[in-house]
Amino acid sequence: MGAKRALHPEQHAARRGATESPWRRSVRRVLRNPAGGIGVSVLVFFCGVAVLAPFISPYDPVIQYAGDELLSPRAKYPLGTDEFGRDILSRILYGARISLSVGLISVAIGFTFGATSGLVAGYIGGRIDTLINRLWDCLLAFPVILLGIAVVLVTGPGAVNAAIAVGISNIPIFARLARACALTEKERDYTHAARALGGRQSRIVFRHLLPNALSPLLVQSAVAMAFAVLLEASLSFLGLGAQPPEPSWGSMLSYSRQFLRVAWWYGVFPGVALTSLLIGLNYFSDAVRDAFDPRQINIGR
Amino acid sequence: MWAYILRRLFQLLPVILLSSFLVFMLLHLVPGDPAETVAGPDATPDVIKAVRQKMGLDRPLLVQYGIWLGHLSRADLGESYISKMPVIDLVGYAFPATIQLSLAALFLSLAISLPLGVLASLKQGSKLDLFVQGYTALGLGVPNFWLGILLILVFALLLGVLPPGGRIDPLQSPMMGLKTLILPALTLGIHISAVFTRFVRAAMLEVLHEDYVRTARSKGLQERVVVVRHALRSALVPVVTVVGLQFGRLLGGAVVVESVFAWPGVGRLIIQAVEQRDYTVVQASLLWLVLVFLLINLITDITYAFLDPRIRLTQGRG
Amino acid sequence: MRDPSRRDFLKVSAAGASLGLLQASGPRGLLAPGEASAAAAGVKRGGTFTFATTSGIQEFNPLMLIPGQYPFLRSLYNTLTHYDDQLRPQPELAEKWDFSPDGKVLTLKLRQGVKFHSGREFTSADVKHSVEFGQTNEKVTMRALYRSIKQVETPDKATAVFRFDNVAPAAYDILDTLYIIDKETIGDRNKTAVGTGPFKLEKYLPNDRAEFAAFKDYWEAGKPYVDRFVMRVIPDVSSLVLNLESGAIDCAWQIPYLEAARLQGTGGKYVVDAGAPGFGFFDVGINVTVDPFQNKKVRQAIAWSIDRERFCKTVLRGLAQPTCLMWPTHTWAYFKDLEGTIGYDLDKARALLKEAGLDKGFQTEILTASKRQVGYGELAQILQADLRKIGVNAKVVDVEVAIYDNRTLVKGDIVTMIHTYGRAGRDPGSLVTGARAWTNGFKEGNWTHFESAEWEKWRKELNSTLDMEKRKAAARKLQEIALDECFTISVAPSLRVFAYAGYVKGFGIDLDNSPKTADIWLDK
Repeated sequence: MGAKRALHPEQHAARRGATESPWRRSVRRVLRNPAGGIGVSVLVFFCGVAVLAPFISPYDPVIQYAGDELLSPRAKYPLGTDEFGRDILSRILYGARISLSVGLISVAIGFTFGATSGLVAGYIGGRIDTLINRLWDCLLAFPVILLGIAVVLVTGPGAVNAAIAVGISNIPIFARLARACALTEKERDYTHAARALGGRQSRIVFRHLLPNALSPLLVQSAVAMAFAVLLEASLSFLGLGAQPPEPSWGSMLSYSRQFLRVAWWYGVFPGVALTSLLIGLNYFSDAVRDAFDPRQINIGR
Repeated sequence: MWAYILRRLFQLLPVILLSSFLVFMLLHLVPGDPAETVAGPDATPDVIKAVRQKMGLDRPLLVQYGIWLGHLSRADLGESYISKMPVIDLVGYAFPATIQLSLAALFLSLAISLPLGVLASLKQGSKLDLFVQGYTALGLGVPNFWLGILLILVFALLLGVLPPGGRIDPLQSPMMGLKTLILPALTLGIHISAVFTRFVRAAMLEVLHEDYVRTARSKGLQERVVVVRHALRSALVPVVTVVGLQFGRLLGGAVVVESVFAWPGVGRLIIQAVEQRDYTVVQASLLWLVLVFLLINLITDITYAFLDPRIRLTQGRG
Repeated sequence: MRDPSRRDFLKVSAAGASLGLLQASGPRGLLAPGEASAAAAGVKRGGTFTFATTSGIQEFNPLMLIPGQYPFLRSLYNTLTHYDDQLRPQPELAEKWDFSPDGKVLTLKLRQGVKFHSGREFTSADVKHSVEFGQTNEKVTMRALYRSIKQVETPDKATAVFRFDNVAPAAYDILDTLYIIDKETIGDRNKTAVGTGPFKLEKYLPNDRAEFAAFKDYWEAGKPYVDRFVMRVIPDVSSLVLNLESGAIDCAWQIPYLEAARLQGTGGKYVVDAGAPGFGFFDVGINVTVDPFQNKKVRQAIAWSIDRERFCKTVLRGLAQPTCLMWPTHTWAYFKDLEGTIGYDLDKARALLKEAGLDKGFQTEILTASKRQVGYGELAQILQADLRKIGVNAKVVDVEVAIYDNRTLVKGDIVTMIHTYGRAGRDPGSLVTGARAWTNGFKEGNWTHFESAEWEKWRKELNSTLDMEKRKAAARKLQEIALDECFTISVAPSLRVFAYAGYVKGFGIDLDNSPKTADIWLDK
């Protein structure tokens, strides 16, 4: 995976005369990396599936075709049907929507709340910093799945609430990361300069600290996305995510268990879809990490 | 060294306290309470109210928390609301099952990842290396509950050679005990082995290019001796840290796998207790899990600090 | 000794899969002492009978009727009489019984020489204590039933007299369900159990297993046949079946219907028993105070949208027959001619909605708890799909059992819900006093909030006379009201299916699905 050691952004900039935007550089680096190429393709594929589901799926995913229950894959139902006579292929296609949207929303929640609180805590320091840090330590001490279960129990089941639960479990990681960045950047010259010039605290945090913390945070977002998709599937598997008849891959797999003996397709195809997306996201986040800062130690899970 | 250990232990206390508070409050935020379950499905509303009063559930939350803390300080974990069994017995019974599963998964994953990682690093770029990298990608990507389903499908349903779930105490029947352990341990272990394999391979690669290894080689030492005696030894140092971290997570991550295989461990205990709103059991088991997790992290940190003096001397805050 | 109506009940639906007839497990009654020796010939003694199900024991309180408790009831304890499969009481701890002419005093002649597991002798004082426990302990499921006894007298240690306030047609229900407990140990019931039954408790690991050893001094000579009885908890339902097939257990209870259907086709290697008739029924409950269900036409529209046949075929796998009636087929309150009054007809449902002015449809919710039992989640989804076709947009709210119980039992804030009601297997009068789905108003715990003077009148009639003609007429009236008002709509029997290995002989269950372990022997 990526045998070449990428150069530090500053070295690259020196070579190109600092005319190219660092973002374009990173993007190109991701795509050049074979793993990154696979990852991006998979991601694009599933996003396409999610967006185009209503157009490409042969049936409505919630319609039950009485009499066609638990049919094996055939021309009429390419991936077979479930115990209510619903087409599995259509449900898998629509399931991509749930996985991706929950993933995106939860990462957004983690990023927003986590990065903000981390940056603020790191910058301000002192008692508040210690207190907030202890809070993150607590949340991080909980096995992630249990944190998710706990939140969903309070809010009730459902895809949206699952997204919130996963989002909350994301916050401490982003916070820790942002805080580490804030601590480093806090001592840099430009921060001192900004303060000396009388800049407002919040302006300093967001205008100066944030952009410099952005790359590791984005790397973390990619990593978090993979975990988010997995966590949503796990919560749905336990019955706490999307509710019937919504087609979540995790809940499909959960229901498939009692029918495995007579309907192996039910337990196989949704898993294939989920695994493909996860592998793609893993490749993607690896490539992003390599592209943005190859020498940084991964603070992720 | 001791100063470091004490310092870390001291830092742990507020975390534990805050965790206990979160656990307690969270459970009481959840709608539904154990009084209904305890009173039984046909109880009338006033019966349920009486039961709730008897259980002390109608007092203010902070008071209940205080009472609970008081009990904890006397190592009294209380009784399960549902079965009236002492919680310490329930957790004590589930604890060995989870530990057994985690250790087995850890053992399996090391058994897979060490040889794979070392071999892949030695034959970097070869077909074997590519195969190993494919394995790790798959191992990291496959969700553990699906892997469990697939393993059950193949080994229990199709081939019929292994049981699809449940746990037999190995002390009672070693053969059956082993048979029930294999699939869940594999399910948990494969994902971890993917993480380890990558790590071992990367660590070995770094070490193999070091000067002293080249020196050893140029001295004419056998390849095997070079690898095991020198390279592997130093590569293992960071691996130890990773193992420590993963073990802590294994305990929690077993939750879903325990559910798939009906393994009577702490994870499944928590899920069942949550469904029944058995507060005392959930509180105690969550707290137990958190404590174990924190402890393992602490041990890992200490081990690492022991191995690398720079850490313990420069570390300011945790 | 097969009851013809029971065989009908067991027959597979014509349109269903090729499942063949279910095995009826023979006579349900405990053999009277005289018959014991006759059956003993050919019986092999010894061995361990291992039984497993998905739920566990909460406490050794035989009057607390939740699924995890049923398996040990007839093993640890005895009742005063028990029903045979024709609902006739047979002697158990009571040898003879007599009602006074006014029907308010029941005199029981108790069996002598019965010992508790602790060695103590069983006397009428134990009957009195058990009744008092049944009347006061908050976990006792049928407390209301036991409270109908005003007083228990014990003139001598072999005689117990029950005095009722009113005529008690449901008295035999009391005798069939009141397990006799031991007052010396009942306080420790979360750890120990002492009864008069064929097995005594030896080892107990909560949520895992309970082990019982044959009680040497059991009053029924020659029984039990096996040496040990083990109850295990295997919460995951697919493991349960596979444990049966791998030989780790001899009998599994509450197995998935799909697996039951498959095991039937093994040619006797495994035997499937559909469970006690009338043990439970799936029903759809509707809150009559919530918009738009105040109008009974809307409720009827829901009733006509339930595809009972499909539910029985695809979920229950043909193991039960659909019904729209309240009582099971083996009771005298089953009015065959009324079957089919409500069926599955979406056009009719739409017409009813139109009459109610709701042809544009509306939104609603279906509360269910799929973790409680198989069928809860599925029925909700099937109903949801059918309601969609008539323009009703129903959201399925699938919650944990604790929340489900809270909303139904405590708050009563449901809109529509999937439910299973019990208490239908014994005296028909018990259903409308004991099952909250059929009581009068939320003040009695009926979450549908249905309340009516008519209902109360016939309910009272049903339960205050011993005259069979009057009782039948009252039951019929109640049934007709139910079919018209549609506050609790019956769908199909709720089965808790057993499957056991072919070498298990003499298997029988009582009306609470409690296996009669005293009669079981292992042919291996």
